[in-house]
Amino acid sequence: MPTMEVDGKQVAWEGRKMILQACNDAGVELPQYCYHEGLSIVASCRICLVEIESPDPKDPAKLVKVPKLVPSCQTPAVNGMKVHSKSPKAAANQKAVMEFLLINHPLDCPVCDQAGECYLQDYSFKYGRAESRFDEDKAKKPKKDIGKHVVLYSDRCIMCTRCVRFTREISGTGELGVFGRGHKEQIDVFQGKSLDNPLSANVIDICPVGALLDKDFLFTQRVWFLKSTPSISPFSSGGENIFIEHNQGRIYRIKPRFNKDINKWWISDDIRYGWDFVHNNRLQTISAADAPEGLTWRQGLDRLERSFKKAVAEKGHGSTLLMLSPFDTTEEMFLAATWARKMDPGCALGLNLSKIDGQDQVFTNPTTGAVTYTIRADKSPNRLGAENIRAHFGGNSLMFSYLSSKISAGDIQAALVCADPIGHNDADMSNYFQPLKNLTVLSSRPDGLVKQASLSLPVCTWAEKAGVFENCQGVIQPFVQAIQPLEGSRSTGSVFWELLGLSGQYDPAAVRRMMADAGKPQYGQVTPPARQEKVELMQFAEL
Amino acid sequence: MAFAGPVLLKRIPDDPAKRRLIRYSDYCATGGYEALKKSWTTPPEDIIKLVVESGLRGRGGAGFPCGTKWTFLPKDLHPRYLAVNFDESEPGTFKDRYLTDYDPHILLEGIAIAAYANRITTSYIFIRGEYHHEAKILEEALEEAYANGIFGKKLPGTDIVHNCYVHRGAGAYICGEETGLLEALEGKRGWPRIKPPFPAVAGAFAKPTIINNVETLACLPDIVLKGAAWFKGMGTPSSAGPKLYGISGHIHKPGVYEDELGIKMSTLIEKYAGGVKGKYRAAIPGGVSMGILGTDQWDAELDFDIGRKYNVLGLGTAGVIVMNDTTDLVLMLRNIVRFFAYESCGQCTPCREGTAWMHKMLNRIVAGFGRPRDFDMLMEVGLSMGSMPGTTICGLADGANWAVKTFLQKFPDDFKSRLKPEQVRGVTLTPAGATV
Amino acid sequence: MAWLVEDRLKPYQSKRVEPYLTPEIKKRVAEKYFPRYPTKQAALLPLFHIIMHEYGYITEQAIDEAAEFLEITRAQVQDAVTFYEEFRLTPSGKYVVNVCRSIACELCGHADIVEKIRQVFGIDPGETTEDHQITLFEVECLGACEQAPCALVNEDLHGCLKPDTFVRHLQQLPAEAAHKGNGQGH
Repeated sequence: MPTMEVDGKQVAWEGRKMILQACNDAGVELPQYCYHEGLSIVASCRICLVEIESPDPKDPAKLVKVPKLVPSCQTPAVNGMKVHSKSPKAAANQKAVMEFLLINHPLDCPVCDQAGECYLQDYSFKYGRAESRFDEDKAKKPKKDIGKHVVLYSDRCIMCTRCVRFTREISGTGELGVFGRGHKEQIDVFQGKSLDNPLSANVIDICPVGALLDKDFLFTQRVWFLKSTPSISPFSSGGENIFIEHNQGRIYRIKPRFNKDINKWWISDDIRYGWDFVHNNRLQTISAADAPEGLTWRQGLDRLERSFKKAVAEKGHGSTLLMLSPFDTTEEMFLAATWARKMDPGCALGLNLSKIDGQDQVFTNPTTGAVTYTIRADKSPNRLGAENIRAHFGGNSLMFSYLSSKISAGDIQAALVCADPIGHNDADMSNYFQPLKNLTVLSSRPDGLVKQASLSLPVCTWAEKAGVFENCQGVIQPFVQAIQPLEGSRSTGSVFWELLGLSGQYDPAAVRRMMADAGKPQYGQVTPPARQEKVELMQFAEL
Repeated sequence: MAFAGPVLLKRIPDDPAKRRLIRYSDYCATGGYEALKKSWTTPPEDIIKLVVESGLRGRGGAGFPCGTKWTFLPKDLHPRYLAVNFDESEPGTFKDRYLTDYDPHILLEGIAIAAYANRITTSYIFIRGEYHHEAKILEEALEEAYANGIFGKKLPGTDIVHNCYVHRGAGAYICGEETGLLEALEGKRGWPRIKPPFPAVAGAFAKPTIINNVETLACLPDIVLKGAAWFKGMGTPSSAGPKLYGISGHIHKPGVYEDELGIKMSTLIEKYAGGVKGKYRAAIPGGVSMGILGTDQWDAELDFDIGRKYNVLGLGTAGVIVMNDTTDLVLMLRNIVRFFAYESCGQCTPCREGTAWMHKMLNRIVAGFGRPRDFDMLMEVGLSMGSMPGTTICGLADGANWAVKTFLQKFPDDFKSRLKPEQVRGVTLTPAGATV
Repeated sequence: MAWLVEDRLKPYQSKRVEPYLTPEIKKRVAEKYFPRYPTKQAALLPLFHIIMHEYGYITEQAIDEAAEFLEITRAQVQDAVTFYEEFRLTPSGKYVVNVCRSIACELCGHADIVEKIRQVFGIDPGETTEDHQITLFEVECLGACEQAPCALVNEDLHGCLKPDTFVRHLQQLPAEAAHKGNGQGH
């Protein structure tokens, strides 16, 4: 593996890489604004300039110093090379670039959402100078409402053009452009053709400063109060990796988490803004039609057990039904099916209809034709997991329509439905289950089937629990709990954990071991991500 | 040194009253297109070799050897383009306009020779938008040339049909930069590209492209006819051949004059331009991006080594601007810096922000609010930008860098006399860093 | 948005029924310019020279139509158009007077020319006379330094200007200009 020396540290890489990329991969910090691994290289911010000593092609043992500063983002790394980013010349340039970027910057950090995660702040601290030497008037540029989710503060912009390249190379929609020339130029959209593609909000993440901000998050929270929990999209079968950013039990925003095989650096807007169901319209009480004052969890679980036992006693095996939700984790579904088959070995296993939005939406780079992102039509995060569980338990795994005919015919006497957290199929479900008297629903929301259920139990959403989702390509991805379950609700897993009489707290890892023992070894190998805070770019200990 | 009379301007009379547009027939009657016919019977490789041997260096500003540039084209990669750089926007430069005003066919013949030698599919003459008249002249001359089989035909010995078109710019100095020009040609904003890839490998429309200045191409017919030795007989060893010198400012006879490379500026001013109006103080050797020649550099030789010898950036376009002793050099530097601030394309941080900052500083100094520390600040900001220190992609900021640097170095008192310690309510503030 | 923000979401105003890119313009570009370049986008500069020539300035609707015609996004068109000084997005008078302000012209008295125009016509650089006859601009080098000070009046270069005679010339310009813009659509 080729190696080079960067500020005295050894950096190794594979294949053809630019100096900056090799350093990023090796965790050696070089300052950078316009560079983004997912976008084309423009080398225009000029803060990543370094001094290099390159091996002489004739005599590789000899190093030749390049007289000019070179952009590390655009200069290929060469085996044996020496890179200096802290030399007087390189440091002077970093200082100069920081000063240039700040002379017209409004320095309104106290009212800026980006403060705390701003590269201007971080690099100013690390590479800039403490005072301003700019005695002239600052240029003034307007704020602009440029899209459904995005607002642009032109005066904070440093013209790195990452956002413009994103719309041209990733979303392929090209809504953004640089208008004007020289120091008067601004990022903008054509009047009336705003930034409204399904990936639009990614420009907020890649903006290194506070120029592009999220309207949804605007002024709601200082970022240093946020805790960041690695998670998996709850709203797409693609299994996009995300961070849930939350504080005091409340989610404030969702950010993409890099996964080179799945979502790269991006997520779609429907994933980013699709977490409304966590905090809105939640079911918090255990209720039954004949107990308007409410029930305790113990009473509720007893009633559920009784309803299944009664059906089996009256109609025999096969008179019960369990509907699994592809929004639940695989562990939860395993426990649910285990319990149901324990109660009634002939229990039918059904699967809620998926939410399908048209067809998969594929984004390509118009120039190269390469696929940059796919928005999955199937919005359920764990359809494959659900199907695996159903196949594992076998038996009466029936088509939905057939199940409903059995319900109408009275063959099914009791059913337990794990409801989806979103109401995409409420009307259909309501029709199918209309004839059934003995209907228990595990739901996170108070509408839908809950309205006609004989017993409803409040369960929590994905952000409040841990487990694995299996995406549409069969990748099993674990996630951890971000926030505490809403008061009154429990995770679906813990409901069946208790019903099965297992000891202690519900433990998804233990369930995965059970699944591995039951002939599904792939679940035994899953390691959940550490519940770490977001990795900070700045390692202040280095200062 | 053997300059026996005009080469490029041989068809244009000295007397302004006698000058007129030279049409195709006039051009041919005076030996025009003979060189093209001769080259069509010569193997293309020999023409490239001839141009390499002649030592012809680019006349657009950078002085890169023309023949060498041609050899960078990858073999057997087609189509190939030739972009003719007629974006003559450097203040003080008007030689290409003058040549085309009267003798457009010398350029077209040069293009045809270069196209044949390099197997070019399409040549685009990128002419700056402000040159309305010259664009019309070229369109008409092209029609004549097409009608006479110069363009639109297969290049001899190939199946490549060579076409030549005029492409008008629209008012952006940066499009005179090779890759900014290519971007404008492709219908985009003229932001210079990062290199590699170099235009010879992936230029216009990502195809191999060579970019040559008008005057460079206009030298080709005579090189083909008279040979490399004849061409090298003019000028100096490193700066061969004849050169168009544009001269303007405080002189009696501004205009374009031709002589060999390496003549003294004093010769140009006194022999051709009728002498200085008033007393000589300073001059710009070749467009405002080259910096300034001092009062003691009156005899500077105008060739490609001028930069090394006289502390300027280089010969540039050899558009000399002369200033007499009544000139306010602070105003002149502000003019130059304003030009760069206005024309900066806005891509690289140091140039976009730095030129505008220096312009604001100079405005303040001109308005009488200059402070002692401004001198060092100007110098520091100026020196921090440009492709020579490596802090920008293209050379535009080098122009600002060299202008500021050489003005301040060669005429420090002009600036220092304008800087006064700041006063607040009548109390003079001590300069930063001084102890009280 | 509750506070002062420019709204880019609403459609642009002042849309007129008849297109700026008339069938004749499209035909001219398609026949003359498209064959010259491997991409349609490359015809952007020639197209907007024609639009400037026909209308004297570029409207949002013209950009909208050009994007459709050149098969690129609206932002890409505006991105390119706003880079070039000659492409103006605001209307100007019948005669656009571009006085060169670069170094040779400043040395040779460009300030006197601008001052005289200011006195006689009452306009500063960037302004148009009330009768929409003349718009004054100061521009960077016109490439005619030997004729300093110089100015471009629409498409015609005027050199070796004297304030009085130049202003007289401007006053005597006919009320109808030969063409609206200073671009030429050849």
